[in-house]
This record gives sequence, structure tokens and C-alpha cells, in this order.
Amino acid sequence: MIQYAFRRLLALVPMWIVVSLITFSIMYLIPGDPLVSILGPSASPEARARMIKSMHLDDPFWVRYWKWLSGAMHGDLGESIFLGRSVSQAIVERLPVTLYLGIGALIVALVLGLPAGITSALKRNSAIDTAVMALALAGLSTPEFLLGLVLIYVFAVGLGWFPVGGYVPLTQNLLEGLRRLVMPCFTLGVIWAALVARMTRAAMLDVLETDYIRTARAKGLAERSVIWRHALRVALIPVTTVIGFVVLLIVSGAFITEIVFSLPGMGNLVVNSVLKRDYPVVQGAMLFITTGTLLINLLIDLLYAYLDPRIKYD
Amino acid sequence: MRRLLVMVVSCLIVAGAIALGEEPRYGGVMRAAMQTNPPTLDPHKTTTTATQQIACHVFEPLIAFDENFNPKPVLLQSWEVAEDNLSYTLHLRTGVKFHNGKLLTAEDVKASLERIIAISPISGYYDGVSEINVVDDHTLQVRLSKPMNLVAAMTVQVTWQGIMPKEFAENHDELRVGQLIGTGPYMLVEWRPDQYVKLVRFPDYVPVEEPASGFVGKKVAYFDEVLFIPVKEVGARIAGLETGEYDYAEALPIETLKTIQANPNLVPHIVKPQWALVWELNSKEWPTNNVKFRQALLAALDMEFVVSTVVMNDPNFYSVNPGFVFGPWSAWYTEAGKEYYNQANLERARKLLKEAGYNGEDVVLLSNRDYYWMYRCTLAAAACLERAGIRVKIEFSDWPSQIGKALTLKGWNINQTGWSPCEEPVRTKGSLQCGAPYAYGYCNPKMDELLDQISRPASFEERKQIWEQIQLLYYEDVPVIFFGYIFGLEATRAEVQNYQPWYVVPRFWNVWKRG
Repeated sequence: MIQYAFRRLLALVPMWIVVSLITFSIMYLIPGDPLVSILGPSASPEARARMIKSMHLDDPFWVRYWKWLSGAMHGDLGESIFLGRSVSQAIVERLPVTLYLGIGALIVALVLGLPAGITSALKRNSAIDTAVMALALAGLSTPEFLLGLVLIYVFAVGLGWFPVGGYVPLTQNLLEGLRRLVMPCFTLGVIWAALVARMTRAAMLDVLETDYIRTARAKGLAERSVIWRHALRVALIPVTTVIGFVVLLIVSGAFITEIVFSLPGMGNLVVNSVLKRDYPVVQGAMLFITTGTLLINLLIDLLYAYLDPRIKYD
Repeated sequence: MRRLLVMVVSCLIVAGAIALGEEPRYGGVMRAAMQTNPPTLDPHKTTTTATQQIACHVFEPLIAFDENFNPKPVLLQSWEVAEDNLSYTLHLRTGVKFHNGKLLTAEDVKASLERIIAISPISGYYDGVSEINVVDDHTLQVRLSKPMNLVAAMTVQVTWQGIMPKEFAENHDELRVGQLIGTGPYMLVEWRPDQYVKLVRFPDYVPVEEPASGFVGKKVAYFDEVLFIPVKEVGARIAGLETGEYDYAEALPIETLKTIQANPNLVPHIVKPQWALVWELNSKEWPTNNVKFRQALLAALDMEFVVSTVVMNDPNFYSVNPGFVFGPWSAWYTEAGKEYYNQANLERARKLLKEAGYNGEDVVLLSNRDYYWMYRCTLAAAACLERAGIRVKIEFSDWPSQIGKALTLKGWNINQTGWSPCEEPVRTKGSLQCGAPYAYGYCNPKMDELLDQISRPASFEERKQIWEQIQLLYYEDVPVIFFGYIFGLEATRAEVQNYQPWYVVPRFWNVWKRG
């Protein structure tokens, strides 16, 4: 297992370099530059020329890529053009917001999705099953910004239970911080709960029809034991893949949710940086997110072996 | 008699209540929901609106303009121009303090002007300045290499011309919080990107006694703090205003006017003027390099239709008039050449197209969906051109990409944009002068001559006559197409008192919250 994990980690290196090249090239190739955002659209050509020189935007592609890559390999992702701080510092500041949001949303997704999927499988073809699957379909079809705005109008404007947005660090004021995270977490979580519910139902139905479950029932095991000890653990394997997928989608979905709820997380950072062409931040943040994605995928693969002893990587 | 007495007492009670509600009150926090983050807070480094909105509370220029766009002194007491028009003497107000407690001196002004000339995107307006000399603590002499209207240059986009202490102005790198020190009614204390920019009241601010108007006159900071909070999602800005989380919200869709009017806790404000709808034409590429073709574009356009379409036909939100860049609210407004404006004359357009030798080639129109008003203007105006037989190929991209492509001068004919209200004719040099960055290849020596004349010191009446000639020549040459003005919608909570909407920046001085 350790050997396998090590091999996978090594395989990440070329993948990481390819990703860095793609990320860098995309920002290099898209039209527009940060000068419009910094200087404004009515800047003089002299001011633009001065800024281009000071930012080394006139250096050849490979020179700029190599400078950036060699810095990144030493943990130096460069300086943000707009934020007045290093990219690493900007990521460190924004990451907790997205992590709180992601963890909260994952909890919502699991708390709603797993029981709904299991119940639906156990009550297959019943009214409950139909209702759960219809809700799941509706959940999957709802855009995050729409659900976010509906929640804002119902729970913030209508009922006044939660603020419309903004962020208060949990270390500064735990209760207020949590209050501000409830609606964003629910917005993201409820949508991905739908996916978890559908996958759990499908996996449970497959497992419930296998021979070993029939054997377990035949030898007189209690139904609760059959479901929780025997069926669910195996059914969780494909669900784990989905949960990993959901974690990644939460990070990407957080882009929209963070903007609707004015949360200063990674999503907001990346979107703002793309719009302003803050190259170092977009490149650094994308590299960070991609590295995280690769590592989460590896972690999920390793979890398979823990959940199902039949899986051997060596 | 008794009835009369009851009426008098009732009137007194109402008047008292109104008076009580309008009594200025110090304290509280103004939480302003803004649509975007500023790229920088250094006012000399950028021309973006988001920076201006904050900078105008922190910094003050030497001269600014009132609500009718007339220049008035702010940090200056007075000024004189030499008889040969080759130097200006500037006299500063005395007793003006910076936020760090230091008194404003001529050295600070010299360093600030030199910083603007060295690094500001608007440095081109000062191209005739050869030397700035300090005469004494409160007097400067600005020497010019050619006759130039220094006051006009100082009045262009005043929010970018803030004066700062010498020790910071000498640093030509981007200044950060702690270094951004001005003389304005509010001080900058904190910037957390994507969260807020925090200003606090400057207790030693010394206002002038003239009545407040535009960017000049008496300014009083009533709020303890002003927070500029970026809230990109417009629905969240409105919702936050409704719940009382924000006291002010900008850039609201005009469709929400009725909703805001129906809510007793909110007060809508129409920002008049806000944006001019403009097409910049590429005079380097066929067919827009042909003056007959450009005249055909102007002939085909129905300005009333285009501008009203942008604001959903709501007459509260637009102005269609022939004043090129100066609307009827400006002293510079003129109707010279009005016969060319709002023609909607398809027959004439087709005749001019024929004379131009246009054969149905694609006319590439650059636009974006980032600004809904630009998007709507593009679609409505393109429909007018199609009716005249012009094949329009619209290329939508995001705003930075659009500007990036426009600056290449290749592969496009029309660039959809919007201009903030013009305050001074010399500002049009950037779009009308040969070789100017936003003239996009347009060059007419006669126009250059007129622009040169209007950039010299002269009386308002003399300059106005020159401006009339410039406007007439503009209509004959059509280097850009000016559609008209649209007005913006913003709103405050009902407890916010004395808020006056105007221009593209909200002004939170002389504004307070009812107790």
C-alpha cells in the first residue's frame, strides 16, 4: 500500500508540470491584460508601456513560464498584481473560508443524501422512493445562484433569521461566523445531497441483490445488521468516489456560492483574478486547486482498500 | 377658530418632526454595497471608477468642479496666469492638514503634481508643463513649454488628482494603506480585498464655508466609519438593503425602481448623469476608415430608439440630446450640428454607403455582457445598422478582452463603450487628437488645431465658441458615435439623510443617519 501510494505520488509530478503549463498558457493566450484593470480603460500609451515593463509582461513566454515554475517549485507563487501580498499569503487567507464552506456543505450533503438514498433503496418503488428521487432530480437541476438567492429572500429578507452575506472569521466570533455560513453551506450541500442520494440508492440496490446478503438474511441476522454491517459498507465504495467528486465540485461550485453570499474564499479570489487578469493569482490558485484535486483522488483510491479488503494495490 | 388652531398646531408638529429628522447627526457607520472591488487604492495609478469612489473621500485635488461642472478651487485659494500664458502662479489655502497631522505646503503639491505627471494614466493632459517651482510655503509657480490651460488640465477627472504628503508622493510605486494619506473628510484605515475598505472620520478636517456642490464646497464627515463592501451579486445588494445590512447600494437594475419605491424603508435615487453610450470607431480599418461610411452609420442610427431601449423605455433614465459629451446640465452644452444627430434616415444612410463604396462587408462590432447597458446598446444599435443594409458581426467577450483587442486596432470596426460624464473639453483630446490612444486612427489637422486652441488659457466664452466648432466638426467627421446619456439607479435606507446622487461616485460627506 505504501509503495503504491509512493508510486502514485511520483506519477503526480509530470501531471503537475503539464497542469502548470496549461494553466500558465491559458492566462497567456486569452486576450486582455491586467493593465485595463489597473490603469483603467482611458490610460495613456506611455502609462501602459511603463506598466508593461515594470511587470515584465514583455518577456517571452518561456522566460515568464520558467520564472514562475521555478518559483512555484520552491513554494513561491509570486506576488499578486492587485492584492499587495504574495499569492501564497492570499491563498492562506482565503482557504479557510472555502474549507469551512466545503466542510459544512459536505456535512449537509451526507446528512441529507445518505439516509435519503438508503431509505429510497430499502423502500424501492414506493411513494417514498419516488418522492426522494424526484427531490433529488430537482436538487441536481437547480443552479446554485438561484437556490442561493431564494434562500436569501426567504431566510434573510423574509424571516430575518440569517444575514444576506459576508464573512466573519470563526476565530473572531464563532456564533456570528457560523450564522453567516449556514445559508451558503445549505445552498451547496443540498444540491450535492441529491447526487449522494442517487448514488447511494443505486449502490445499495446492487448490493442488496447479491448472494452474500441473501446468505446473511438466510442465517437469521437481524435486518439492521444486514443493512448497516454488511450492505452499507460495500455500497459505500462507489459512494466514496462520489463523495470525493462532490468535494471537488464543492470547491468549484463554491465559486458561484461565494459570489452570491459575498464570501472572500478561493472561488471569489479566482473569479476576481480572472476578471482582472491577475495572472500570478490565477496561476497560483489553479495550481493549488489542481494539486489538491490530484491528492484527493489519490486519497479516495487509498480509501477503497480500507473499505473493501478485497482490493489490493500491490 | 378652534379648527384653525388645530391645523396650526398640526402643522407645527409635522414641521418639528421633519426638522428633527433632518437635523444633522454625527456617528454611525455607512455600509455601502458596491458592485466591484477596487484594483488599487492609489488614485494616481488608475482611472477606474471603483478607486475614484473611495479616493474622493480621502484625497482632495487643487481644483474640482461643482454640479454644473464649473471649476472651483478646493486646496487652492486662487490662481493667476502670466500674460504670456507660459506660467501659472498657484496660491494654496492655509491651515489645511493631512491625515497624518502635517500641514499642507507647496512642497507637497509640487511632489504630487510631479507624481501625477510621472505615473498617472492621465499624465497626457499635463504635456505642456516644463517645471514646477516652490515660491514659498503656500505658493507655487508652474512653468509651461507652450501655452496651456493648466486649470482645465487640473479639472479633468479630479478624483484622480488627489494631493498627498511629499514623503509619499515621491514614491512612484503603488502606495498601500498607511501611505495613502490625503486631506479629505475621511481617512483610509483598512482594506481587506473582497471584504471591505474602511474609512474613518478625519477629526481635524477643515471645510471651506462655500455651499456644497459636486466635488466642491463645504464637506462634513458625519459618519464615524464608511465601509465600502463589494457585493457583486445585484440580488444580494438589494436584499442586504432591504434587511438593513447595507445603508446604500449602487448599480441597481432600473427594473427594480418600483420595488424600491414600494418599500417604505428604502429611498431610490436616480444618478443623473451617469454614463454616456459611445461607439469608438476604428479609422484604420475598412470600412470605418471611410468618412462617408462613418457618416452613414450616424445617419442610420435612431438615438431615441437605442438609448430608450437600453433603459427599458423609462423616460426617467435617459437623455437624448445633440450635445456631444456635454448634456444640457453642463455649461458647455451646445446644439451645434444637431441636424446630424438622431437622424434615423435610412435613405440617406444607403446613399452615403453607396458613395463610400461599401459592398456588404462584415462590420465587426466589439462588445461585452459584463455591463448590461453596453450589451443592450449594442443589440439595439446593430439592429438600426442592419435596417440600413450594413452587415454587423458582433463579437462578445469579457470587458478586459474587449479593451485588449480594441487597443490592437486590428480586426474590428466598432468598439462599444461608455464614458463617464465629461467635465472639461480638453478631456476629448484623448479621443479626437491625431495619435491619441483612444482616437483609434482618427486624424484631422483641423480638429487638432481646434483642440490646441481650446487647451490654451482663455475666457469661458472664447473657449465655448471653440467648443461649438469642435462639436460641428465632430458631427462632420464622426470619429466616434455618441448616442446619449443613461442615468443610474441606486438606493439608500430611509434613515440615511441628505444623500445627493450625482456623477459616477457616491459622496458620503454631508450625509448622516437619522437617530
